[in-house]
Amino acid sequence: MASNTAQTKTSDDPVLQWVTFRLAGETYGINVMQVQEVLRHSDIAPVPGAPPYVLGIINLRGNVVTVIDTRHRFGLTSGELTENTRIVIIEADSHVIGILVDSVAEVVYLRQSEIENAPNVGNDESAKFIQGVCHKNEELLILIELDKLLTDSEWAEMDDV
Amino acid sequence: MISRKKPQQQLACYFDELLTELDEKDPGFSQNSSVENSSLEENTASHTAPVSTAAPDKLSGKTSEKTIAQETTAQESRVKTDTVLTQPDRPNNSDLHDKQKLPIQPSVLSVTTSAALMPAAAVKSALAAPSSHSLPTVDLRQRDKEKLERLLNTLTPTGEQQLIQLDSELGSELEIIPPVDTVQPAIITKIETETETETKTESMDVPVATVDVPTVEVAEVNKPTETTIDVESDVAVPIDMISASPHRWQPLRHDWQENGRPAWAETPFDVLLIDVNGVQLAMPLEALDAIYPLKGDLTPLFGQAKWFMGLQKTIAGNVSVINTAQFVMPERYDKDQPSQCKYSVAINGSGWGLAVDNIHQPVLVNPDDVRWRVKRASRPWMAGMVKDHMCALIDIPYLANLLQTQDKNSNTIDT
Repeated sequence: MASNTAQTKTSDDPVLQWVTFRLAGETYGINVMQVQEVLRHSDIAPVPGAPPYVLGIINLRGNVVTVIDTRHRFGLTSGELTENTRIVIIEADSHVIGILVDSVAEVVYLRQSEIENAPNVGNDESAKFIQGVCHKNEELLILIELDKLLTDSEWAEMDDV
Repeated sequence: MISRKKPQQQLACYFDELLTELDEKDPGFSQNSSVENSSLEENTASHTAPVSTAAPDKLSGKTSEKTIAQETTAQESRVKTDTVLTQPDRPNNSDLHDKQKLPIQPSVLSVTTSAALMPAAAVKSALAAPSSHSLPTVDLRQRDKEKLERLLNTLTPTGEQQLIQLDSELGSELEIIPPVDTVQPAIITKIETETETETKTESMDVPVATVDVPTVEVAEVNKPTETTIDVESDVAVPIDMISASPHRWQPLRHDWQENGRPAWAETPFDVLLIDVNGVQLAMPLEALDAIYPLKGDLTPLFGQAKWFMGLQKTIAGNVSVINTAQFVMPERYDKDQPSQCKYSVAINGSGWGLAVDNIHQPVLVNPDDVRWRVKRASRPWMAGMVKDHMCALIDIPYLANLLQTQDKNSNTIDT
């Protein structure tokens, strides 16, 4: 699915908007157009037999939404829940899921030209989630490509949760 | 408008036009035969009619206080006479009064004029009534005539440089003011300085000053410059940034010769001695780019290899830092032990850097002092062993190429 990026101007170097969140001490960014809403952490109902990266499901205004453990998906160590923990409801590849993050920061504006390529020397499939990196506000943002967060088979498996 | 002709041609053109204009103004002024120098002098000497006081002053070479118009007119007439009197191939100033030597172009001699046949009255009238001739005003400054003579003698392709030098010596050079009613682009209004001439090189054929500008040798970034590591033998001096190069040079060849030596090790080469997890290693200095201190500002990326430490932001861009100890000797690496890495050594021509504990002075290594590994079935990044220091020599170019090939995103930009 082609990403519809929020562009403030149409040019050869469009400005893109990214929602940034913190996870395991690093700052990540996702396309703002794929973010539906941000929820406070609530009780997540575990689902037996679900993949290990699935935390459970939540009830979002009568809709069942699957919540993914982002740390586990990225291969990071598990973390503690805090008051700043949030569930970001995203839409990727025509699927609506929630991802658990340590905190949500802000929306940043990045030019296409500012996004740099990131190395990929690992055998882990999670490395393909990284779309690129960008320096912003004295730190390095790691931009995530949500469309690659799950494979087609994994998306199908999510639908069965 | 500046003429596109060479200076000598420009002067020749100027004189041609000057004489042509004189012909137009006063047909009787010009003649078609040459005459001996002495004849002319006799004619002028016998001229008893009252003339401008500037004339005898000029003949004697003394600077007079007459008006510039009178002086210039007298000079013009004298120039024409001199033109006729001189030899066709070379101006014979020796036949003229010393004070009357003026620059004469050989090509000007082609002008068919002869003052010898000029009636004396015409000369008188020319001298006395300069206003009757709308001649271009020539403001020939009183210059060292020897320099001018030298100028003419050196007007050759090889002498153009001398011309420029001479012009600089003369200071404010010849200023020939063209007449108002004519446009004489061939006239050099001012021989510009060297710097000014260079800006117009493309538009004119004026010889550009070929000043010996000291060539600045761009020091290779690989080699230590003023930012050379100043460390003692066993102590690594804390530094903010030893050296950095925003440029990306072409990496060294990573192929090997038949004798097992890398292509970069055919001649004596400098190596940088480093400490990694208690083991001393050597890296060819020429293959390195810059050294950056590690201050915990690495940004880790998930899904990478275990030896990948993270991205380091430098002035040269992002550097992918790898754990050298974990990469070259995983069997000796203890992941539970806290990292002692203090510096990252960027590899020349790549975006990779090696994290090291300490850095020592670079040393010069002779290829014969290295026990080269001919067969690199395992650990292909290890080139050999430096005998004098009993340390492994890392084939940095090969290592960089290895990292580059392993990078799945090395040639793609996913956006």
